[in-house]
Amino acid sequence: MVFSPNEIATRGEEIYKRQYQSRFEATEHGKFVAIDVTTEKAYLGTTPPKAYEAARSANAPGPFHLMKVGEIGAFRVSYSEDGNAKRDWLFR
Amino acid sequence: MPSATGSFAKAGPTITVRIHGVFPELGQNFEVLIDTGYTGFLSMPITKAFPLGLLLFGTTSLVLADGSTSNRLTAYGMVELGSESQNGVIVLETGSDELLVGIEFLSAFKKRLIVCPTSGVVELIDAPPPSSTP
Repeated sequence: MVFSPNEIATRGEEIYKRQYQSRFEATEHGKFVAIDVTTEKAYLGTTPPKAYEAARSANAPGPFHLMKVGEIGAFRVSYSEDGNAKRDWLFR
Repeated sequence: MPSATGSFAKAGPTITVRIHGVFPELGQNFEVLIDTGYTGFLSMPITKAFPLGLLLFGTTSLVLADGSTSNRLTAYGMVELGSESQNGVIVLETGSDELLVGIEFLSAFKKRLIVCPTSGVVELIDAPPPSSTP
């Protein structure tokens, strides 16, 4: 299966909300989770590389959408997208 | 003794790292801005990432300074700081020419950041081990 960047992100968020959010937010708060958008499986780790290594150990095909359990985004940045200067054209 | 020494550029503290993917011989040195407002490992322009042979990982979502979220492509790669190296998830930017390392970078390398704006010296030194609470 081939996914566009937008499809990976959208599908990853949808799979997480449907299958994992309520369970993980009760028991895995603060961990990183890589959602395999092909198989719909989730791989947890205390850091992003550990989530990636968990997926790799399981021979997960990917691609993955990386999230942080209990947060609205995996990482925080110190900038905004004012004036489109930082806007990512891949996701428009 | 510092593990790495950088400089205080116009935009903030910078340091030089080497970035590569599966093949170390494709690695290149980059001057990166140390941004403590960024919680991730490394963020770099996608055009500079292509020649390095990084493994495409997928996507992730960023929380911007105004509280909104925005998605980005991600790759998996290795960063060398002096004689030390760490793997990490690298955020690929299309709208910026800057390379940033954040808190996850300092945490992965177990470094403490010391900045002296007056002398223009930036040092990364080994962080003390976490204190154990009884």
